Amino acid sequence: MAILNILVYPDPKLRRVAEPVADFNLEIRDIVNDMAETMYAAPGIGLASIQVGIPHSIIVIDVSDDHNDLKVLINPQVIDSDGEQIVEEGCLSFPGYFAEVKRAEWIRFRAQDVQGEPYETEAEGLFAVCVQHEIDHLSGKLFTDYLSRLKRQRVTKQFQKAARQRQRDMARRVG
Amino acid sequence: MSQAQNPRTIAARAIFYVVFRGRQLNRVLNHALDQAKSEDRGIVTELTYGVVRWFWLLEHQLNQLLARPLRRKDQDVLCLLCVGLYQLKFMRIPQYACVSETVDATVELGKPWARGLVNAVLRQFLSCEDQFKSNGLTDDCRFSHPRWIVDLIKQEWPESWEEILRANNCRPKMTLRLNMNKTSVSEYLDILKESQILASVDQTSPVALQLAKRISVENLPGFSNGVVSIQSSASQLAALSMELAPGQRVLDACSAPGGKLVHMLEIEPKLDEIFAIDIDQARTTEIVDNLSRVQNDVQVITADAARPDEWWDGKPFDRILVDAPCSALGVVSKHPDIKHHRKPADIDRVVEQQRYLLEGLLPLLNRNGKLLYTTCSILARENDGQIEAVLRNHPNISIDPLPPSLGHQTRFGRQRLQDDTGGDGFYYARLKNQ
Repeated sequence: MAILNILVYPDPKLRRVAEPVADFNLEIRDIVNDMAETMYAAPGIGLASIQVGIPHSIIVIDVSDDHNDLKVLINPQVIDSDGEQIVEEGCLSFPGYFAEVKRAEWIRFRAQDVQGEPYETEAEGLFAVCVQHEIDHLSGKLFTDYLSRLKRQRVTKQFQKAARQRQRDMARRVG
Repeated sequence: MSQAQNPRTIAARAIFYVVFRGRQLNRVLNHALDQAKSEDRGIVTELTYGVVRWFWLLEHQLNQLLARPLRRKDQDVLCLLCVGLYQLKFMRIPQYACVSETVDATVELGKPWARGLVNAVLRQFLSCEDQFKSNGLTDDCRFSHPRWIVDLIKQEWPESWEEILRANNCRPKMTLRLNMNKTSVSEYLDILKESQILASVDQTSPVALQLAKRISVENLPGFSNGVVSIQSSASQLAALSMELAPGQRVLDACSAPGGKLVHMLEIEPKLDEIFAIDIDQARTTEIVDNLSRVQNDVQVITADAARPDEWWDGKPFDRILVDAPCSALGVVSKHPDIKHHRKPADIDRVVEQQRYLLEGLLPLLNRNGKLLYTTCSILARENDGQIEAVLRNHPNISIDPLPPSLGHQTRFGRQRLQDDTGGDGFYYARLKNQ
């Protein structure tokens, strides 16, 4: 197991669209294990493969208090939704930033488990929010896309500035 | 996805990494602050620094409150209990809020079973708080230091050890150094006033100001173009004691992160050549970083300064600054994790390094050249002890006296002790080559 490097906005790789997983081999199992370890270490309650630079449709989620209820969603798809809820979300690709987002209160989704076995289930509350947040990642969508223009510009600038600073530091270290 | 965490959970986890995993406080905190809402950053910082400072006292009192000690794998719960107790003892937060927020923090810590325990321990403390006044405590608990450091400081400073230990636990103030080429004390005070930042004149250094509250450097007028820097007043006295003059060739031997180097360039922009050396590659990049705020052509070199054959061009130096690696027991209030991480053997190791540096660098001194030796230590072995050895081995080297403003006179140099305004403990000795 290994902790993977989480991409931070504005990394353009966060806008990639994930390919479906077709071959459920051992490598997929390793990726899922590494993603879970990375999520728990961060700490986070959900992580999408796009965030660690892996272009397959893989999500890990654990919204339990005891951190012992790992859910694996491969090739997930929302098939029904209902209601509204507003939850303050954060994202491991936007460290230190939190904002309220409106999403469906209840969803029904289809996905495959790590062996490729298809399943269909419902989610509500925080679990539903987290599934929607992570599924967005697989199509290159970020939670800041839902914010008002003003808020979005502010957070975009803040992270672009931080990225420039990191790049300068890196250049010095090499030079 | 992530969720903003309870600041108490974030602090407890950070404290766990510092106290039980030997990680550096400022690095751990940087990462931890990413999990907090921006309005919670202040309290996370306060709780983390506070508990790391007062850990020995808090742990001792918790052990009295706990029916049996926590298991090793629940050291994070112990850290959370410390966070709870610290708030009750040291912070002005309503008691019910402290208890309930700390109880809730068990969930995000992944230890929901500890809710009842945290609740019971904190409430029991409140019900018999009077029993926990500091009477009857051993010195290591009362002053919250490991026993060996208490013993060492008692032995070195039989008269002032209590003040030293007390000063080690204070919250240090933020000190600025003004660039006298770009501003003056009175002008910059006015600028701060306009920005509504409270500041006062510093008693130690003539070019320093003390801020009433810590602020982020981005909010400090003129920081990015070198009008002002962050540096303790004791450190400022080092460059101010170099007797710099135009045309001199200067060596800054243990330069990283370059604060004193930049200060020297500000004091005397017309130096002939200046070498900045540090042994650690990652840290020499910090020097370059710091230099980017000032005009200069400094030669920054990653090398072992005490082995001149690796980097020296053979031309002697008029001034050498040796700000030696040391036990750092003079700057504990700023870096309270020193109390957790320093081990007795570390002192032998730095004493050895200091001797090696001085022996390696003295031959590089020009006739009439001067070497300033400084440490942020208060131990005689690292300070006068080193100078005594130098004088014994080098008949051509003599002491060049320093002014009383640097601290009280020791046999060979000047010593400042840390104080409760956050002034650093610091040692200076200036040597001259006849």
